[in-house]
Amino acid sequence: MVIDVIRNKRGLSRALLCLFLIMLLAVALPGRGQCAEISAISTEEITTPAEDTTPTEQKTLPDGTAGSVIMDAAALFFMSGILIYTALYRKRGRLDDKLFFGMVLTNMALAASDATAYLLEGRAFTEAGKMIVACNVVFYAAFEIFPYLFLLFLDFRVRKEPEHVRKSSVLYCIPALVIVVLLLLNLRTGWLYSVSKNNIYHTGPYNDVVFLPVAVYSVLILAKLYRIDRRLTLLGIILILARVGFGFWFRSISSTAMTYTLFLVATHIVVMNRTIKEEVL
Amino acid sequence: MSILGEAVVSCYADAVAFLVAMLLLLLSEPVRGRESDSLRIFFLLDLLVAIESVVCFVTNAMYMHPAPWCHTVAVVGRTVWESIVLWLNALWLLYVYLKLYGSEKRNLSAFLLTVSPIVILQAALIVNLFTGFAFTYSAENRFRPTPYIFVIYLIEFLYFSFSALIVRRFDQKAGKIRFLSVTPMIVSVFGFSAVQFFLPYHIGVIGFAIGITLLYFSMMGEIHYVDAESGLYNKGYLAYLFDLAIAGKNDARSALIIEADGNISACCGILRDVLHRNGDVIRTEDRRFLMFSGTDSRSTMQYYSSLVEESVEKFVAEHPDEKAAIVVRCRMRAPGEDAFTFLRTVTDEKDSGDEMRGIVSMMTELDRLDKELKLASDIQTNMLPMVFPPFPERTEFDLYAATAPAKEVGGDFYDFFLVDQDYLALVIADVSGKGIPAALFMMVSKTLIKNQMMSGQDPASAIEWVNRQLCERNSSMMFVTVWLALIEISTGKCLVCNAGHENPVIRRDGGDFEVLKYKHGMFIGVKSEAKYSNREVELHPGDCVFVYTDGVPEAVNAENKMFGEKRLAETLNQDPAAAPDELIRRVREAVDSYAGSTQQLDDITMLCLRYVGSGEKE
Repeated sequence: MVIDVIRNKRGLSRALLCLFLIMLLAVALPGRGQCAEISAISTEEITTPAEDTTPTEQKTLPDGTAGSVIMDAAALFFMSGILIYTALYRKRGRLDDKLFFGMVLTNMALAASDATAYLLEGRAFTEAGKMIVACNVVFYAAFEIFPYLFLLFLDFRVRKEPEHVRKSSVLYCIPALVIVVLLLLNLRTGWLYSVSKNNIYHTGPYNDVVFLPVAVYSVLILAKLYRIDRRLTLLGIILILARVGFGFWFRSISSTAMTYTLFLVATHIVVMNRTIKEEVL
Repeated sequence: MSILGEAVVSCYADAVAFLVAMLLLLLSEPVRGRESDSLRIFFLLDLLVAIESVVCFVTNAMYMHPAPWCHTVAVVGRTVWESIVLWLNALWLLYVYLKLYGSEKRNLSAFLLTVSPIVILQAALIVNLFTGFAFTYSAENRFRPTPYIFVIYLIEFLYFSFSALIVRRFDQKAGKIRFLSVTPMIVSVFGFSAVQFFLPYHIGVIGFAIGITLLYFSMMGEIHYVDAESGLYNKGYLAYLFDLAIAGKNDARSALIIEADGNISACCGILRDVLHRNGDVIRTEDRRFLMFSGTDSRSTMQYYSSLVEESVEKFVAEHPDEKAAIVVRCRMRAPGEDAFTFLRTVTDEKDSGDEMRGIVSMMTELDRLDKELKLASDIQTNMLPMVFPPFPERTEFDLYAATAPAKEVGGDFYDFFLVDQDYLALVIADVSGKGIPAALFMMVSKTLIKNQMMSGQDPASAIEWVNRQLCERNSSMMFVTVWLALIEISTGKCLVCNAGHENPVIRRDGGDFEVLKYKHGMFIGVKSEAKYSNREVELHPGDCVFVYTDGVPEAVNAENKMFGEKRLAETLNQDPAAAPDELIRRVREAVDSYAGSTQQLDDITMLCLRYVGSGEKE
């Protein structure tokens, strides 16, 4: 059904509009912001020290739920637009088209899981905790898979050899694979993140590990961009710095989906620019 | 939710929108050189989004800052912000209108119509700075709207709805090319702008950022795949079809190879309107097009081909001053042939080149000749006596003549003149062939005959002399059939010489018309030693002579049967006593009625004389 919706442009637009309205309603309902107060009242029931401190911090932090959900919704809109305007290329079915489509889907999964996790946080229904865990698994997996696919995409754009890309994909997937394994282990250990009984998300002691593969991929991506065009390296650096900047200034708002979206937007435009210059003119 | 939280979310959205706008500006280098109104408006839109995001960021950052200058910045910032949104809506409407329906005639009126309401709203926003009737800011610099602001929002919404409707209509009209599909743009701009009515976040600017990004994508798609001049697909699309064929996803089973000449934009319009909905029409060269279709029915493709031909004919008929020609050839994919080979075969097929280019040059030449023939026809007609009655003071006879060229300049002519006060000469003749040569030959013949008759010659002598003159330099071997009569008006006696012409029809003594058959001489212009003789005929008062060219008896109907002398006599005998002009009109009507819609190849020329004698005209 999902594929049918994606194929049908009108269906996709309507589905996204519905999703957007649902997200608006969800943000308007009592959520993480209000939940901070609820959590503060229920601190007596919480036993772990981490859970004791979190609600106090929530009171002083800006509301991250609404901001994150809105940014994820914006990312989803961007993705829907890219899906529609790249439909012709997708039909062509070249390896770079497939990889680009994969990146779009990965980022959509990332944005949707991120928004859902934020919306579920602090909700007082039974399955909310499990759903938050599932959403975070999807989020972190997508967080690693996206730069991996992007690296393969650039690799194909440089070499134009599907066989070479297939071989290098095995090597490149190792960092992402490590994180996927850690994510599965995390379900028992809580090293990367955990969800408390009152359905609040907490980062684990080794949470920063998830950024290591992304950092590695980022360096490789910049190297590939340098081989394609030096100016593109500069563009890559600007986008990475923008991500860091957003993360620093708007700490409570999740910027990942939007950053990846900007990467995809820039990539689509650059690829189209080159196509126009090389093939048509 | 905290006010600070609201500010942070709004500022974040503004920062992202600014980044997107800058990214577009940075990466739009390839299309920047392409000058057009719609592109200029696009860049203006992008710039406005960037400015708006900065203004929004500053305004939102003023929340919870109690200093008086912060209040001023918030109010002024919001005014600028709302103004930019107004202009963004107007420009967006103008953009889609110019992009889809723009023309030199419409551009100025569209601009005035779009901008006028915005100017009024802009004035209202400036007034608001002093009165606060539309919105104010609280002591904590929080936005406080009044119901009047919703009037502005309503007009913005109307603008946006209009632009959406225009594009939707174009989408339906354009058929296959839907690069400007705007649903996501509409949803994003409208959706994100509407958030402020439900939640305390002002993130409309990110909706605009998404909107212009998608707009840019659509433009890129157009630049890549659409031929700007014709609106058809370009070579990039052909390359794309080859890619599909390599991937085994191309189902092209038939193709039309189309070559156009003449008014190329008209040809493109015909192809766009007639064919593009049924297949991919690709402009591979300036005057060469390919259309691929998934159908394997040759008759379907031939039907498309006939549609094109009909449209071209219609265009040429409606625009006589324009030239357009389209040649369509059909190719079917052979059994067992793969799509890639089929595409390559069709693409590589040599065009008919010179043959095609010759069509329009020939059409142009024919057009020139048509005009010249028309001119020649006018000159020729003016050479014939056209004023009736020709001799109003002469009551002894009643005379009428008429000629109707079949299609172009013909060689028929008639003439009548008084040789002296008692002698009237009548001539009717038919030059072989058509066109300018026949017309020239006719002029010479007419002049020579008249000159000879005016010198006092009898008809046979005059024709013999003219025949010799014509034979001297007649390398083209043209000839003339002539019926020439000289009538003594006082007595009714006449000398008639017939050089290969049609038999005259005569009415005598109040009876019926009858075809007068007698031995003819040879037509003139071929044999210089040919001899001709006069035949004496005596006319009595009331007698009538009707002479004509072969266009009358040889007029054919749909069954290719001739009108004939018998039918001619019958027509004349319906009212034999009628005046000459009435007789000629009746014969003309009878011939037209008999021929129906069948195109006649010969001119129809008739001359009728009723001899009255010394009595009064009836």
